[in-house]
Amino acid sequence: MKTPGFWRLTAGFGVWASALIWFYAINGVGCAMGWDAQRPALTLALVAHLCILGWLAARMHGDDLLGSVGVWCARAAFAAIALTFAPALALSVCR
Amino acid sequence: MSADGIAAPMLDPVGTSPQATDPIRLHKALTRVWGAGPGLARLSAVNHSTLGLRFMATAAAFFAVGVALAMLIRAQLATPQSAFLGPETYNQVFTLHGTIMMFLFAIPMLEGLAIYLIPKMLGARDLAFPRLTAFGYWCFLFGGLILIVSLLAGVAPESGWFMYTPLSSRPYAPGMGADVWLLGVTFVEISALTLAVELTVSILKLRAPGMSLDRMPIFAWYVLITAVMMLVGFPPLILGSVLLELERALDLPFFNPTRGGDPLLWQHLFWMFGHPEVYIIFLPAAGALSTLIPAMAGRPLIGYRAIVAALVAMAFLSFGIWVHHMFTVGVPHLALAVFSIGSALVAVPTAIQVFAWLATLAQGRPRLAMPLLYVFGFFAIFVIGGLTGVMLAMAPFNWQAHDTHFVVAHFHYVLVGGFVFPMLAALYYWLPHVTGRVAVHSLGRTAFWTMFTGFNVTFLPMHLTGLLGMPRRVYTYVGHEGWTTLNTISSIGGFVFAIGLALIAVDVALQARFGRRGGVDPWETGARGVGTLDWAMPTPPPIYGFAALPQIGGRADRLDPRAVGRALAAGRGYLGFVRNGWQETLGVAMATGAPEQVVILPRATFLPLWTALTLAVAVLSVLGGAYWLALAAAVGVVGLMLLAAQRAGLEVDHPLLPVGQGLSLPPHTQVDGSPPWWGLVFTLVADGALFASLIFGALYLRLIAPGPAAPELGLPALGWLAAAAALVGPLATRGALAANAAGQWRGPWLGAGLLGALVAAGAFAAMIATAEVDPRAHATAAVQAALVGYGALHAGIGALMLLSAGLRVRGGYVSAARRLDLLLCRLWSDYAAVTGLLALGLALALPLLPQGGA
Repeated sequence: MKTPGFWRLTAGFGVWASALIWFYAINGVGCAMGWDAQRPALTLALVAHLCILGWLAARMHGDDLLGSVGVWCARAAFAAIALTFAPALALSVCR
Repeated sequence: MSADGIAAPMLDPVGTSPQATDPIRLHKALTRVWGAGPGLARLSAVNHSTLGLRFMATAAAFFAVGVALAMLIRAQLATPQSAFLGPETYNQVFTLHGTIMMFLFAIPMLEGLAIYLIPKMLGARDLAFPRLTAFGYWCFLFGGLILIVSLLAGVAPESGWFMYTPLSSRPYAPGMGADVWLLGVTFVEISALTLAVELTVSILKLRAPGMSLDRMPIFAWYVLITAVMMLVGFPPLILGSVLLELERALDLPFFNPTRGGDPLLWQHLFWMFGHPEVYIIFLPAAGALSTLIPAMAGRPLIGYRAIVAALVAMAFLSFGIWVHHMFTVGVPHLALAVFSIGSALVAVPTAIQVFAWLATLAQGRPRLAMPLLYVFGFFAIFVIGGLTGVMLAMAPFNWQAHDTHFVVAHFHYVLVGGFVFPMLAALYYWLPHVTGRVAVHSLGRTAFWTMFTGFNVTFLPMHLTGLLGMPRRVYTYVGHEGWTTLNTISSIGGFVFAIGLALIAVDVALQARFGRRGGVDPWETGARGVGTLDWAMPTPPPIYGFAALPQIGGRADRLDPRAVGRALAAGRGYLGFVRNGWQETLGVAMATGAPEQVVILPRATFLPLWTALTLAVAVLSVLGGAYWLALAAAVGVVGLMLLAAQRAGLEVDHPLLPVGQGLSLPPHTQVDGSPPWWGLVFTLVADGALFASLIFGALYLRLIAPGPAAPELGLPALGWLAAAAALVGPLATRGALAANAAGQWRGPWLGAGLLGALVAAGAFAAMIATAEVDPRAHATAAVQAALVGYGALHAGIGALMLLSAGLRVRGGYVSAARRLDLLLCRLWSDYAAVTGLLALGLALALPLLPQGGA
């Protein structure tokens, strides 16, 4: 009942999905609750997810389909996180 | 192994059955086993070819209704101040037009295509759960008929296809229209979920030996990823529908802001489904394009792996951009930017596919047959729709165009371009497969140009109508706004578009009736090096698909179907015989495609029809307010499902079964990783998505939704009893498995598990009944009830599964080798315990969390 290597397909964008959930939760709850430390928390989440993906992309390898697609997805997810969540560094968070 | 990748002739067929080596005798023997019979017995069919065609034909019939409704809309809007349709009727018409096109046409059509093609492309004789396919079909048909009949009866839903609250809440939609929508669509969604499980397991487990994942035809990748998206994407809407129906029927205020609810929660739940839905509709159609473009171009698809990566990216990104449908509800700048960028990013993986298709055409020698004509139509229309989509993803533009006819034009370019045109290309490509006939296509080209012209005349001006400020869903306009000419042009175009569609229907009927015989592989894909297994069979296909199953030695999209088909029809390959009257196909390892089990499938039965009919009675009883009858029907559904479970599997242990080529494999009942196991795993994935949506809803209402403060909320001490009882199941099922392995009595363990599950269900239910605060008083109390109710439901289902397992133990269906029932009970008990404890914990913790709006 093993699922040989399917995690490689989903790992990259799985981290992207995790980033989205953290951003949405911090921003949504933070604004509703009036948190002052929202931007540092968002920045920390951004950096943490980029580090995880960077590590993942560097470690993943393989010539088979699951491996090569996994590497591409990890790299694409890295770029997607950087682009999607970069506004957290500059834009107003609750207005 | 021969050069065409097919196993050598099987010289020594094996097994206990009559061994039919003569192709004609083999054909007759297989037809006897796999056929459903004549007359009314056809309704008992569970075969994928029959059901795939039924899905597509029924979806096409609903599409015709949807087109007729669209014509009513265009007739109404052709001139200002038209009295053709009144506002109430107009609301019902546009609501059902959208609902039909999304739920009764697009989704079932893509499912039908996948059901029909997937086993054939993968070298299997059927899907993993044929009775589930049939149940899904009947649910779809009955759910759809409920919606259609509601229109004829004048009680159709009228709140728009996305049913926004509070417009769809009881005070503003007091009739039964909204209930019809919620129950009918949920019926159809259940059908879609069953098929998503079916397709996921079938693609991963039921392939020809040797067909590893990287040898699969690209269409299977598209369907696999679509099916997984359906598993995760549809549950939020099912949850939303259940919550809204509970609000309407029992006054639980999930979406009522005066009692702590929030209408925006509905929008979130709807679009968490609704946005991925667009890609769920597009991807199988794109899969058809990725299959037929190489056939038309005469060269293999360029960028196979890049396309798989693009599909994975699209699947994820499409779940992260639902908020762009809600840009005007008051979203902070940061969230606007995040969802705006995400929405634009999703164009990248889409573009990867478009460029791969263009490159394949550019590098090949395309022939301008009918399918390719529709491919070019797709390129033109879909790219325009994609670009206006990027425009709408930009928040400042979105604010201006939101809810105008610009949006209507945009999504018609996306959905007609991204689904209807590719499906018409697929229709012309695979019609010779279904009918066995090819056509001259002279009428087809006229039909294409009529439809293409009509579509663009309808929707291109509609962008301007929207930019001039015309809102969608208004039943008329005064006439001095500057919209009249554009609307008249759109209406004329609409009728031309409909005439084009009618011509296509005529063309298809003519081809089916008068076309010349096409034979095997009429597009000559084998000669062009792009053949797939679906063409390696006679056309129309025999009911069993393949007389023998092939061994795949290379890419399964570069075969020679004629050579392969000849070998398989002669029974040369795996399972080229009939044994014990069983419907047999092979199960393989997920990644490598190494054969690992003989999957014995259930034969034709009326059970799916009766179960769906009984479920329809339950739904109609709820609509009519006959709750006791609904309860009785629900009990009937449970009974029929238990009956179906009793008829599955084998009553005795079998030695390894010879399958040909000197290979012997165990039956699937004696393998832990059999299709039913994976079926439950993927069912729980969908269930987990529903549970995650419920957690999201609970936290959203408590932490973010504005509204009055909740009263003091406490839960009775029964929670401890429920928690303790929920843990009995995992322990008892492990005990039963250990006893089963040791050859000891399993009854006490199963009895303990059953008792624990019943106590848990009862304790959870009693918590709702004895709650200190009435769930109707405040949304937080209602959410507590929903969470605890989730625990009760899952404990109850666990009890039924343990009861069924006990009956099967007594019936001799369970042994040390055949332990699937116990494994399934353990998996469900584990899930029910974990989610039950989480639900209980969250229900208890909610009152401790700060309240957003208080």
